[in-house]
Amino acid sequence: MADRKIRRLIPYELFEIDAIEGWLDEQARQGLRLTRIGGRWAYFEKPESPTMTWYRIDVKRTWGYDTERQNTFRELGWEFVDGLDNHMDVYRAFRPGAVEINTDEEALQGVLGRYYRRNVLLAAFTISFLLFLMWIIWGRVTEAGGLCTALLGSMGRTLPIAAAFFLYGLFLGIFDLLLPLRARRRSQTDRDYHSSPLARRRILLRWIVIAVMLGVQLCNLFFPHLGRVREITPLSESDDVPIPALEEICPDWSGPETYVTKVKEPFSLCRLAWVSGASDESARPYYSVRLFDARWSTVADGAAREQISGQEAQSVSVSGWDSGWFFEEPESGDSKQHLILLNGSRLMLVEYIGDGRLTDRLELFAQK
Amino acid sequence: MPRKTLQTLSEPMFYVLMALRHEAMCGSEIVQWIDRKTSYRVALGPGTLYTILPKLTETGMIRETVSDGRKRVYELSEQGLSFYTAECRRLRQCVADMDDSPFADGRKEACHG
Repeated sequence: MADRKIRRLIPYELFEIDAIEGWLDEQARQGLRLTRIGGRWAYFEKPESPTMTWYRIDVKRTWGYDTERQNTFRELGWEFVDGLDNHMDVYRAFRPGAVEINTDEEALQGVLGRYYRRNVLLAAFTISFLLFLMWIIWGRVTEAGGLCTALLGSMGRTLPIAAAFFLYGLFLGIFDLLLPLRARRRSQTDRDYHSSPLARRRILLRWIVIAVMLGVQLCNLFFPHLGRVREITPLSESDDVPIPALEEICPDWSGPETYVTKVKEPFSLCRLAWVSGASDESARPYYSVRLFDARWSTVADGAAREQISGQEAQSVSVSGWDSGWFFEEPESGDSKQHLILLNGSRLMLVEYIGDGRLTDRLELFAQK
Repeated sequence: MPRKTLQTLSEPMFYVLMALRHEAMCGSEIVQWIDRKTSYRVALGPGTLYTILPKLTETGMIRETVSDGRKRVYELSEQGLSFYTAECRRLRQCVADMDDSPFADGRKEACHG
């Protein structure tokens, strides 16, 4: 019967050689024989008659294949198995009395120094990169009008993922920063290190979470309409939403038909959004209504506060709405009018540039 | 104050120089010589040996001589010899200082006078 091949992820960093040795010994006790190792993976076979084996790692100061070195190891009872990386080789012994490969802690820590430094630099780079990413994302949040406004919009889906990714990355970065320091303090020649099951799974867990996070981000990037129902319906069919047509706001206007875009965002914090417009933002008149049914009233309330923040907004009263605000701001020589209406978790944001004032047409926005 | 590298020698380094002071040897012969000399008190693993040998070679304490087939043979250099002699002198002085001390044998009553 042929030997069964098994591949397992090495659950430790390379500089934790005592932990890797202990893990390989444990695999040997389970009857697995190491055949190949490298690139974070260890390959085993399950022989029909396993023999007791002890695995040890030799850390070299120079890289490459050294026949003389391997011959000396063989004479002292250690058989070469494979290179873990350019500077590390795995050896095995079949008798317990073979003298340990590393017997001097100071010499070992000296050659492991480059691995500690590499990990610390990598962790520092990860943390810096994450902070830079968050700085960019925060810029987009500010541009959108604030955190709550961003959560209600299209960023509502990506922002929590980005935040989770950032926090997890930060946790990993700090952990990676501390790990070499902890390993450096630990005596790696006494082989008394026993890690917890969680510590053993941390690298696997890390790759799974990173893969999931990246997968979600890639889906957002390449399939922006995934899970989103987009349909354009005539305004008259959306009688349950109090969105007046442009013709009602500006009776003198005669242009293309007013339309309503119905956007369903099942993964965002906003259940439903209606966008109404008559023209793009550069054309006149410009009219846009966004209606959000947020999952939580706190988010809707926060978004309303962000909209009026820094503006000289006046309170308005509209039937069917708990609160309302109105303000104007100059826009390309025109005056852009803003009407913000809030009712529990429902928020309506109206923008208008054109003849007449929205405050004279407030009854059109009354909820039934 | 922490010991600087090669300012004074670690025990394995000292024994490697001692072995090569005796005669030129290859890696496995050095290990076996130290095992015999110290009756297995000082265990010198091959990984540690091959960390020490390049370090001593780089600092000029030892040098590689002929390659005997697939084996590299190391011998003590003049610099290594003088360093080893100085280290022996230092260690003898340490032992002499200890012998002069009233607590040389570590007896408890000696501590109390």
